[in-house]
Amino acid sequence: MRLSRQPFTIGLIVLLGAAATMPLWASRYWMLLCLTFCLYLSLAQMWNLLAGYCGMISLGQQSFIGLGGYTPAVLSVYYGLPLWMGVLCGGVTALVFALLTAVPLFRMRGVYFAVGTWLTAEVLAVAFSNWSFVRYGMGIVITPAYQLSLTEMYYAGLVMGIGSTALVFLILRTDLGLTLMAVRDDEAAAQTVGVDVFRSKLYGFLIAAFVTGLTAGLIYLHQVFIQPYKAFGIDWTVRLLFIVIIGGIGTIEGPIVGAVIYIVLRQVFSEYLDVSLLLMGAVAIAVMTVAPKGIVGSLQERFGFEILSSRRT
Amino acid sequence: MGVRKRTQTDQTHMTERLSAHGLTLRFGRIRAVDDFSFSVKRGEILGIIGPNGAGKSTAFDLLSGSRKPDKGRVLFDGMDITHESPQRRCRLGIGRTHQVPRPFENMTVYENALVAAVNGGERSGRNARNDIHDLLDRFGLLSKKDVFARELSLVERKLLEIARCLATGPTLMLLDEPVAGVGGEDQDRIVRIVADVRDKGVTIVWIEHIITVMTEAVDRLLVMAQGRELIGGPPERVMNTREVLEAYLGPEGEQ
Repeated sequence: MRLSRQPFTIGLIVLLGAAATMPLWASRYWMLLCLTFCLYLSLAQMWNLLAGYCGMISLGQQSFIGLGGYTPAVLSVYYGLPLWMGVLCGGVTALVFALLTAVPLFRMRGVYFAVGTWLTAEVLAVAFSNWSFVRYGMGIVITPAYQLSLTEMYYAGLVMGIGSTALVFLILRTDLGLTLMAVRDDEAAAQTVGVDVFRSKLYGFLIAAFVTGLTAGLIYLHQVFIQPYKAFGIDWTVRLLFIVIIGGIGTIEGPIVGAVIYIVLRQVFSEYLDVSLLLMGAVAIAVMTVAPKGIVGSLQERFGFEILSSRRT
Repeated sequence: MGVRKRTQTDQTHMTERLSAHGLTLRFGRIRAVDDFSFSVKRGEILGIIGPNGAGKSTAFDLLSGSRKPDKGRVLFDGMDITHESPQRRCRLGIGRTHQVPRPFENMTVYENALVAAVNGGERSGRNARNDIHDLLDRFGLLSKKDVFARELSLVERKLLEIARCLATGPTLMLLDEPVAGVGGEDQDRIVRIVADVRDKGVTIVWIEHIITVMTEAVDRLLVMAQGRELIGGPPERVMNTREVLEAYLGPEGEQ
């Protein structure tokens, strides 16, 4: 069963319209919330692209987050490069780093790949905290970012959130997307039907690294302060894991639902900061018990519908 | 002299689609495939039988490239492909099915065939569409085209395995027990499909345990035991040799 397109299209237009005009009518609080949502959504879509569609369970997205954050920090503070230019360079840095690490990382599969990506990020954290150029563990205050208004940040974040979702949707409709799903389901069988597994995975990995790097640039311009053990910390990927898994891995809507839930829970639990992670964990376990495929995944299985379908007919 | 020699080899290559020369693969101290040589001509159906553990499927791994031999060479259309990757071999025209079907479980039947056409067949998704519809129709899978592969029955999975292989546009198909575990009527259907594929000019190497199917369907039969060829030739003759009767029926078989 496919849902009728019309109510969905109208709903989408209303939502996009509301999002686009938000600075005109919403309070700072709601704009901040929406910005955070968009940034997490973008990161989550990229983790989902890797884990849900390419079969690469990465625990090392923080490599690209850290690099994507440090690049604009260094370029704008030290060299006076325009902030947005710095963000773009951050995406490119992440992409180049992904390209360099792909060969050794792709030799590992499953759990080994996960650990490999994680350790790569840990190496970066140690390297950056011992590097005088980036002021060791003290971190960098991105002073030029003070001049950004919330409205500017908001629109940049909105473009990122919507853009990354649209990007995943479009990739899945290309031959590359189709091929990636085959690799995810059975690498060896994919090879016997002529799939160049390494190249397909590489494309997925590079796209995810680039967009993650860009998004991280925005995140750190917004936070204004970057520090190695935070930027290259595994907490990032743990949060993305939470978002994608409770939302529904391997679905485009999953990260959207997951990111909404994450943002809401974060606000609700913010009063109990010391136990908030514990509470989030409990929520994750509860969701996994009731809906093993995540909220969207389990609903799709139950009712057989997909809103953003990438299926071919 | 040199020129003449080359012409001669070229002629062999014209008729030989695939040949293996002294293939050997060891797992520890066991020789799974041991100095195995054979060849198959264009348009031929070659059947391979042999007891469990004779090295049939492992030999297929070596031919399709999913394993690399310790020794020996594989020639395809006269070209040495011993060191080519599985995906390259597929694109050159070697299709392979697995004994236990390995469809892409979370993709639909149509997508399974499409991904094969796009990669192995090097076609764009758009212009492969009609051909895949025809293909699935021939296999009786058209009504199931939007069903996830994980929801298929065993027979349907077996059919999809062959259909997906055909979607890559092979000139040689390595079929690993396509009718094993399938009931009588469906067995005939798959045998007919394979015959039909051969009639369209595809060379076939076919592993099967069901001897009756083999003797009827193939042009030539090769018996493998302990990683090498035991005997080869026309099916009726092969099946009546003493070694084969003993291997299959035990030493009393002649009586």
